[in-house]
Amino acid sequence: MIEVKDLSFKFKKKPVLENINIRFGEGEFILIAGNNGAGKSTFLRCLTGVLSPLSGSVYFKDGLSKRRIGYIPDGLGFFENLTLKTAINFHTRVFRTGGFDDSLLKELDLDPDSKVKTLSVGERTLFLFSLILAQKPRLLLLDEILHAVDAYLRDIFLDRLLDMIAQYNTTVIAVNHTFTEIEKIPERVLVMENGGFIIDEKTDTLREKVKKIELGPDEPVPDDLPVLFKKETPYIREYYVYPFEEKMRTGFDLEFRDLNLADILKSFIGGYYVKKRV
Amino acid sequence: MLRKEFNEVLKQSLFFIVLTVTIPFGLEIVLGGPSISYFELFFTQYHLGLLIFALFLGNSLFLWDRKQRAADYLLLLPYSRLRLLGIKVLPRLTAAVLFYLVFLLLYRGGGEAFTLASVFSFTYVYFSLFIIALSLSLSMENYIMMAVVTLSAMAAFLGMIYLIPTLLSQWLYGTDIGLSLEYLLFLRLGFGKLLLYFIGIVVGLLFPFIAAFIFAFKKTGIHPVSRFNKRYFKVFFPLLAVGIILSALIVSTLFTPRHKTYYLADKHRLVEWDSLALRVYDENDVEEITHASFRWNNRVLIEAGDSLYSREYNFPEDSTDFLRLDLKTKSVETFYKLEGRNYSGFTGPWLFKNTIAIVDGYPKDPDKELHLIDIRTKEVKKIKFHQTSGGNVRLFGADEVDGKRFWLVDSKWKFRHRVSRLWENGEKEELGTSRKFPCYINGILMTYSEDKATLTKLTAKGMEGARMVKTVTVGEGFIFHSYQVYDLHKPPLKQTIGAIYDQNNESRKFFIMDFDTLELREMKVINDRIEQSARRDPELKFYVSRRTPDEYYYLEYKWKNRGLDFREIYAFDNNELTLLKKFPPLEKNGKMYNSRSGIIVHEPGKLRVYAFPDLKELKFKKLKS
Repeated sequence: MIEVKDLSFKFKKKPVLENINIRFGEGEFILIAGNNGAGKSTFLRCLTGVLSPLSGSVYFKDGLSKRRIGYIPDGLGFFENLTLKTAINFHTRVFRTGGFDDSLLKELDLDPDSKVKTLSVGERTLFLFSLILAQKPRLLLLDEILHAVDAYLRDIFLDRLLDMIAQYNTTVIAVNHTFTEIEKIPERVLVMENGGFIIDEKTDTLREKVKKIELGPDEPVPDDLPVLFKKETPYIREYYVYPFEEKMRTGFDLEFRDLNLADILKSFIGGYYVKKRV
Repeated sequence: MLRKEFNEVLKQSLFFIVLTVTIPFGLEIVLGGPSISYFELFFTQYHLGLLIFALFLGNSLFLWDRKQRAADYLLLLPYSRLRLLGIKVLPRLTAAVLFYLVFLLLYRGGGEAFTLASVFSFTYVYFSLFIIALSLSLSMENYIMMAVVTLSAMAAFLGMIYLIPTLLSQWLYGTDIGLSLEYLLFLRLGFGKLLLYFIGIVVGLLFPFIAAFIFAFKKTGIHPVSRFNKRYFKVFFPLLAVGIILSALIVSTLFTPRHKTYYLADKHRLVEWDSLALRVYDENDVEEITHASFRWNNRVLIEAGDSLYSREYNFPEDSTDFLRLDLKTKSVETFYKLEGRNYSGFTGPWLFKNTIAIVDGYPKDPDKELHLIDIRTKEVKKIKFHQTSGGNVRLFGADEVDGKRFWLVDSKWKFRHRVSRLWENGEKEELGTSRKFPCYINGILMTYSEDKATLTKLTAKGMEGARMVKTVTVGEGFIFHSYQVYDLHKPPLKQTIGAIYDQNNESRKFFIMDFDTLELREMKVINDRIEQSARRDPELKFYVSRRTPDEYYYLEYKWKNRGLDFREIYAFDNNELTLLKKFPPLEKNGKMYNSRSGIIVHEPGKLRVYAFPDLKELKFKKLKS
């Protein structure tokens, strides 16, 4: 559905994205993780056309038009001086949605005559999401929006998100720092580092490829163990192993533990910072 | 989206309207009195405020979107960048145009007395500021900085296109064309040149800004500004260089010093003028009068004694200036100023003794005014008169009867000429109609029906004083030649000339009439000559002119370069033709000038002057061709 070819971007002279080549299929839920400044938000903005890349291109296939693309940026930008009613009219007219489901607004008990700038961060996130739902999006891009939303609203958001995916077979590309709530949702994970993707795996595959071992302070660590990241305290040492293979269970006399997605991604990000310090 | 933009612009505009309407009230309380009206305060503030508003309108292109943090959302909308730009620009441009139209209305409604510059100057500055501000709206985030840069950009551009033609003329012509600031501020050009200049400057100045903006916006977002700037200036500077060169070239062509015009006045004084200066040559010397003090750019309308009279429309002041060149003192003055364009009197003013008469009034307006200006004292007498029908009005004669003067007025309405006599006490008499241009010589009014000319003696007042003396059968196409008599003390004319004109308005047969007998007879020797010459060269044209009451000349010529190309000139005396001069065909870009005193042939690199009565060539020591 989306093909990215040789995408590059720079801020002033600093490269932010470097020769990215990647494809996204219809109905996929992709999670993009990475350290701060890796280029995740920039990548999303290049996909939407908000930023024009320095070189390379983004192709939308299967007749995907801008009217069916939704994007909620981390800044939650919108015309703040408009009332909700006016904003809805505006958005539905411009995107030719044909209608608007205000159930979400009713659930939040939002006054349609209040201005957008009076909404809290969480309310604004859901308001923007409800606008996008009206578009029946085939592609949805979310940029670090969940962390600012309270637990209750987060649940509502995720429920609606899953309904949307089921109904419209929407491709979702989400950048997030917290993964606990969405642990089971993404089918594919990308880890970005220094403007490129270092990991592009299905979630299940990634879970199988990343394991953790815990050792005491004096226990030896095999030299040929592929350590992605380690965390050491005076009492215990944690080693995150990647890429893990099943034969390592018998090859190394070590207990390899499964990790949840959050820990997997933390290990990659942690590994980046270690490399950076070195 | 468009509606939203229009709403936003409307809010901004209302704010401006409220300010411009209410501030003058306050000012009037503080400053006002009988001498300062609300309208004066309002209009002055309005048109100056518009310049600031133009900057603001242009700068506001993405200002509110950025303030509302909606920049990303804007770029997400399902529009191409160009369309988005169009949606943004259209309401602002509409507001700019509407406010400008209001300015024009107010200007015409009395504001012109309070404007600081001409309409063209204001238009140019206003729209330039708007477009440059619009273009820089993404380059500069600070409004004041952007305003300063915009004004500087415009001033710098004007300076460049002033400097380049000046340097170019030094290099090409070895002379400074002396382009003054007045020209740059559109104070010195005729409408056609002004429009060309205006278009050239707009394209040269504004095109780089617009093109660079569109290019940069298509490739970058609303922010970051530095990326936009990099792309913007990469396109801008080369286009600006091209624009400056283009504009400078256009300006240079408008002010080329090579377009000179000539007139040979009495006593062998040659007058030469171009867009920069006027020079009067005699045999040994030259006197130059620069254009800083006047504008002389049109043909000579009247020559009387040592004075030449011309007329020019003064664009910035919207007046018709009647100019006099005094060949003795070598000075030019605006001896009379008429408000607005002088549409009537399309053949020019009429001089009778020491009075120049000018008709003022719009062609379709039946109410006109005759202005009589004493050329010695400059005292003016105005006589209102009413035409029963509209149309252009022409003065064609004047005379004095029993110490009372009258002026003859011909007003053409559809296919008829109405002839009226206007006395200086304001009384008007209708003297009938004529199928062709009437004329008046030696107290005889000549009017026409289908194939007859009616000669009417005008004596005392009233129709009893208009006594028809003769009707002459002259044939279709016949007309007497008009002749302006400046001084009645000189002996009256003994004869006058008429000719039959064909359907192409070319004269084919000439006649002469004695005023003693009022007998019209053919000028056979001339007409035979015409027949021969026409057979030899069908493109030849023919004319008989009178230089003084006693001197007649027969001229054969062609049309070339939108002017006369004389081939042979003969003196006609005692029924005989004497060849005075044969001219070779004019060169390409050559021009001939014909005045009462002689013929001037101006070809590239050559100027030859021939004076009547014998067309002897004159030499002027200080004349450069």
